[in-house]
Amino acid sequence: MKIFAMILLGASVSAFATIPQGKYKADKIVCAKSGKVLKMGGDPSARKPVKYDMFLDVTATELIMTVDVVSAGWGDFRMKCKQVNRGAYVYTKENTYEGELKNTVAKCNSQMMERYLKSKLFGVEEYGEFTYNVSGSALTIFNTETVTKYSCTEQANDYPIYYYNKL
Amino acid sequence: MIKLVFPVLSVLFSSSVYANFELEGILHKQDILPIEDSVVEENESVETIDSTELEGLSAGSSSVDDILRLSAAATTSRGPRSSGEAPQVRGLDTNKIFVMVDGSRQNFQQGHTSMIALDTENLKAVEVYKSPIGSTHTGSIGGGVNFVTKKAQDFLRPGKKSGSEFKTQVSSVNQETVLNAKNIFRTAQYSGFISATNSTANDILLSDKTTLDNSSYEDNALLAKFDYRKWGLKLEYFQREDDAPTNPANNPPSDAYDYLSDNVTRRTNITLDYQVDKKNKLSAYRNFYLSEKKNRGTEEVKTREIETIGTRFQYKDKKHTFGLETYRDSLDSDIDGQKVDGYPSATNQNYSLYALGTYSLSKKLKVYPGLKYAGYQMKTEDSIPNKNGSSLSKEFKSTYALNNNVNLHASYSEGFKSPSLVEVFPSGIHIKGDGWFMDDNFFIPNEDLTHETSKVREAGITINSNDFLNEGYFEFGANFFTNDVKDYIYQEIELVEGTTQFINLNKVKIFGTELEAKYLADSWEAKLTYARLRGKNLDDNYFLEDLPADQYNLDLRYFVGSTGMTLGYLGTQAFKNDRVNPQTIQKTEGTEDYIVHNIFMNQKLDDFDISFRIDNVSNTKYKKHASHLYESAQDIKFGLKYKINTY
Repeated sequence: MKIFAMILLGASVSAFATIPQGKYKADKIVCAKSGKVLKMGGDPSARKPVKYDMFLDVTATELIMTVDVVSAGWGDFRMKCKQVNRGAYVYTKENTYEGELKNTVAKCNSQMMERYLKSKLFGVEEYGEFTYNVSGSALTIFNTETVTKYSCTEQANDYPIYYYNKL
Repeated sequence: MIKLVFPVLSVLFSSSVYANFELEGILHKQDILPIEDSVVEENESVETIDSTELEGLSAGSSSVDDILRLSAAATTSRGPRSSGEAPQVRGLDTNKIFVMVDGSRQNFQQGHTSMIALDTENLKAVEVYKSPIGSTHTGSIGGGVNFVTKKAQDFLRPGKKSGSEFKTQVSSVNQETVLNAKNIFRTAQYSGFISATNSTANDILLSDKTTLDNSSYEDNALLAKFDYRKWGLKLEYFQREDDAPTNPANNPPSDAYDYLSDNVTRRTNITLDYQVDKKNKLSAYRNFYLSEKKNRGTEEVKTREIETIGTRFQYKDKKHTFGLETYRDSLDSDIDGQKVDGYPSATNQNYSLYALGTYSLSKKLKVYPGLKYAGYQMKTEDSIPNKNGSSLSKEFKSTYALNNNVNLHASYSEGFKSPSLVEVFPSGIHIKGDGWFMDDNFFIPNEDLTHETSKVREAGITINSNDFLNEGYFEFGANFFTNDVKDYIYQEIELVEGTTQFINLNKVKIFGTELEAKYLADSWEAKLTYARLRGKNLDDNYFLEDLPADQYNLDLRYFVGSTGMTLGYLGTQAFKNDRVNPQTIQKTEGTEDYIVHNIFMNQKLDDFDISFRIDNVSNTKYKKHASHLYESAQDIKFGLKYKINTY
């Protein structure tokens, strides 16, 4: 029965456009309804005092999200944090997978920053259904029922969409 | 237009443009001007940067940093923008010491507003008080700095009734142009002068070969002093317009509008003195400080006004000094003309009484006991309870002359400083968030903030010889001190709560060593100083991260015969400083060692002074410790002064 199910899952997956395995870097996070944008990475001297670098490792069975949060030299405080979320996933239908991203690491240069990071974790997801779209090297992922909404709360039922590019 | 108005204004007062000129015989030691306004007598804890030393900086001494580099105990922190520079004495930042101009307290330095709004053109001396011992000033947990301006008689040559000076000065590193004009007069009963200065500067070229955006400014300053018999009146005006970031110690990119502002800083002072007799004086003053910052992102205009009204009386006889001082700070702040809820208008009334004695117990042993009683009362317009506190500070110093050339000294003194209004009632947003991960961080008041007290212990030795190597005067001094501070006021950023508040740390300790060797010969002088400071927040076992690096300074001057020419060298060697706290959110990073060379030349002619100076001759790329920005690149400065009947 188990063998049958795996054959069935394998057969069904092969019918979908899956996410190519490899490492992706987030370009931005955008609120689907309000359009509010969090630009990631870029020049560390860019106009925001804190720089975020978010990576997503896609393997056959697991997603690993890594986030580096570093303050710009011109900011008012020093911040150097690393966060890792990971979790299994399975494709369920066209452009959809089910899975989760549990926080496994949240480390900062100071205990206060660590408390702060833990209160505002990036990209943590409970088990649920995710929609993805692959177009060339670009990948978008969102979960309308996400538990990590950032500041996508000004409009009802808003949620963040992650925009990645393959490295 | 305004650039011309100020110097022209002074010219209009001129009555002696066609006066006679004369050549003064110039011997460098005769140029030291007496400091009548000083209360300092023989005191190992006070370092005086006198007129001769200041003269070496006459081309380009346009900032406090230029001046304090001559001191072993004092420095400035917060980088190359003069809008952000803050004096620091023995590791205590500007909000923990007293800062005065001619005895008028400048109580506005706080947080990102630390510049001493001061025209350095008319300075006669700078007194650096290293500890509370022997000082009649309270309101400090260590020492302080007093900038002393000249009087009419300090300018005019003997026998001259009037005179004028016109000066221009340029700097290469920021294209600074300084124009100054002054007119001086005296009769048997009256004397006075009026001085007007305009300075404009572009952005600074830094030693890492980048240009420091938002470091340009325009200053306009006016100083008028009048003496009539025993009365003295001083009027002072200083205004700076600049585009320094909200935190001038930082360098946000040009499109980070929320962190940039267009600023106007204005200081006015009126001081009235009555000289009872040679030693005793009564003073009253009003110092008004205004800071207007228009945020380029929100376009909000944040205005802060601090008024200080003070009086001071001192009686001195041969063995005793008695005195009293009061000053009241009033704080008012608004945003776009609207009062901010929770940030009341407030006043802080401070008072102190002191008695200091000098007794010779034997030919060799002298003792200097002292008592100072100081207190404060802080009142607000709102229903917030008044705050008050007081302390009786004790001090004792003894000196022992081992022989004619060797003196030992040891002292114990206590400091007291009331919390400032801005520390108790800070207002507004401190750190703007990004709307995603970083929340806005707001200043919140701390009505429980209490005053700081300190216990300073010091010991030292002075060795001197009037006939060293059969030629000149030699002096060597060594000082060792510890400063134990209770209730040290510290700015705490709490990110989880989104607040910034000034809190008291229970125990902080600073200790250090200062060495100085000086040699004065007929035609040259040399001074070598060394300073080493360590400090810890003992509550958390963290370093005091902004203490300066261990440092040597070498000051060499050569006086070329009777030509009136002085050649000089100022060198600084600072050592690596990694006494920082990377495990915290404090942003001060460790700094590498560096050596910086500065040279200068001054030529005094009968009616002209020519000054030439090159700072950072070798274009060394360096950061001073506790600065987040590189210091200036090589800076060539040139000054020309036209003198009519003045020194």
